[in-house]
Amino acid sequence: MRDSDVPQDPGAVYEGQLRRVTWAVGEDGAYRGVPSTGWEAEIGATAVSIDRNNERIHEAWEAVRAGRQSPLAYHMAVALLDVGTLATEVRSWGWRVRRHLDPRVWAGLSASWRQAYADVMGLDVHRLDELPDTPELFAGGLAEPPGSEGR
Amino acid sequence: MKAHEVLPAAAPLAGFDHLHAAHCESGVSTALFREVGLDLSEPLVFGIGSGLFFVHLSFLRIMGHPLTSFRSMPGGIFSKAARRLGVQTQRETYRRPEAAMRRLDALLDEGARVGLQVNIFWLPYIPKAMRVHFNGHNLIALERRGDRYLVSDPIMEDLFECPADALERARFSGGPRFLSRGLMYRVLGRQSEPPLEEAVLAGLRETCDRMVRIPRVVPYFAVQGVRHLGRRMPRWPEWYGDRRAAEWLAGIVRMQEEIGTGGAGFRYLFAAFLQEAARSPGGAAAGPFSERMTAIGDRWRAFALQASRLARGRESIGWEALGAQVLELADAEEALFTDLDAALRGMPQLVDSRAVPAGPRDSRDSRAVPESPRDSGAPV
Repeated sequence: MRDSDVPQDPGAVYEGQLRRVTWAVGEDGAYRGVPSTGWEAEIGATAVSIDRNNERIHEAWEAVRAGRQSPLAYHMAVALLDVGTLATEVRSWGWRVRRHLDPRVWAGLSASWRQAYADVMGLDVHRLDELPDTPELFAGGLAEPPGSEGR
Repeated sequence: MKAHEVLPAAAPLAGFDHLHAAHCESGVSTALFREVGLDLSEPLVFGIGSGLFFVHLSFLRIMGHPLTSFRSMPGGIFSKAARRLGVQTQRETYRRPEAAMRRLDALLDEGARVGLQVNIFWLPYIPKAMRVHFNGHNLIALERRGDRYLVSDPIMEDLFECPADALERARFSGGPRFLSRGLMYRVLGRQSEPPLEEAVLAGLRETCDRMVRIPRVVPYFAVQGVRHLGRRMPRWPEWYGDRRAAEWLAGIVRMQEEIGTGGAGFRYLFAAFLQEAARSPGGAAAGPFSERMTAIGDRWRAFALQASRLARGRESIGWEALGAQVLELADAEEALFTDLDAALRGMPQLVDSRAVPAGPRDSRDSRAVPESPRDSGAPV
């Protein structure tokens, strides 16, 4: 790729505050690092990922509100964690974490488990049971054109 | 929650030149080597550390995606580049976060620049959309300022002050178990005459070795890994459904372009390395391959553009054609590394190794009789 062809597409990915280095060939044929504000292809791919994550957050939020799952399901989705990764975070097993997604098991959860989850999510322990009125979604999904994002 | 705040940039630090690099690990390595007066470029360090690779572990799910990587194992670039360049380093890992942070403070008080391996998700200065759970991110801690640390993150343009609790959280994160927790490393010193040429050749040789000499029965790595991906990808929609297939495809594009690769999944970075390698007398054979690598990188970019459109449901060339593109890339990379390997050993190049499937065997037999003058050097 020529350095003049390095894409400079404005995009939500870097939120206008980050340029990243792409290596490209200069006029003299020598490679050099060129700062780039983004590229359509990766901005689009990231939007797909954000969209899917937001869907999962929304589904978890509804499931918690309907009482089908414990609030852990929602916090897990917002932190983009799945059961396996969350289990490694609290140094336990997937099946134990999965059990805690059951509201009845969650209701009787020990203080040390709750502390462990609070530490992973970066929340105060007493906020673990809270569910916001609307799900906290990530900006930059497919629905928003690049650059239109609010904070 | 904490993960939603974004930090402003910090002012530059006197006596430290922040390096804005394409890739976190080669960037941190380059910056740390410069601290002991070894002034190399990022591509050179990346190549000497044999950073280029490909892995597609179709059976292993990391955050719901099959593990796909365009590079070698995290940590390898730093340790290999340091070993080959004769740089003395120290590496420490910790079980307890408190001990790890105390040790970091002690080192920073001595004025050391400390490389840290962290989970990028928990770093508050990284734009939200780029935060994924990836434990192999690298940065340099420069200074402690109260309950904040001044850090130099090579993928960012500026320095940032990272809160201590966020940094501790990032250093001790869960995730895949092959990455050690709380890893910190630093550069202690170097040889007065770094063996640059030997290091470049060692980096080139290992990359060639790994790209074309892993037995074909193992489908997950190097050019076979690319083929594995190319064969499976068109089947994703019928195996896993359209939605998951699209998400995975987007994930591949993100791994290739977004996660600090310098473009085209490190292929441009490696092309830049080949170009620099050719400037040293022993590496002259690598010269013609830089342009070929660039052309392969351009084809990876073309693939990413189509893949991204397909994942978004826009008009694109479709799954079958995408898979075919990946298979062609595997052939092109195999041909390039087979030829590069032969050139490094002073062997005549195969005109088109695709037509000669047994190509690698020819050069393998020649292994015992090195013809290139550089081969007579000490093992690195």
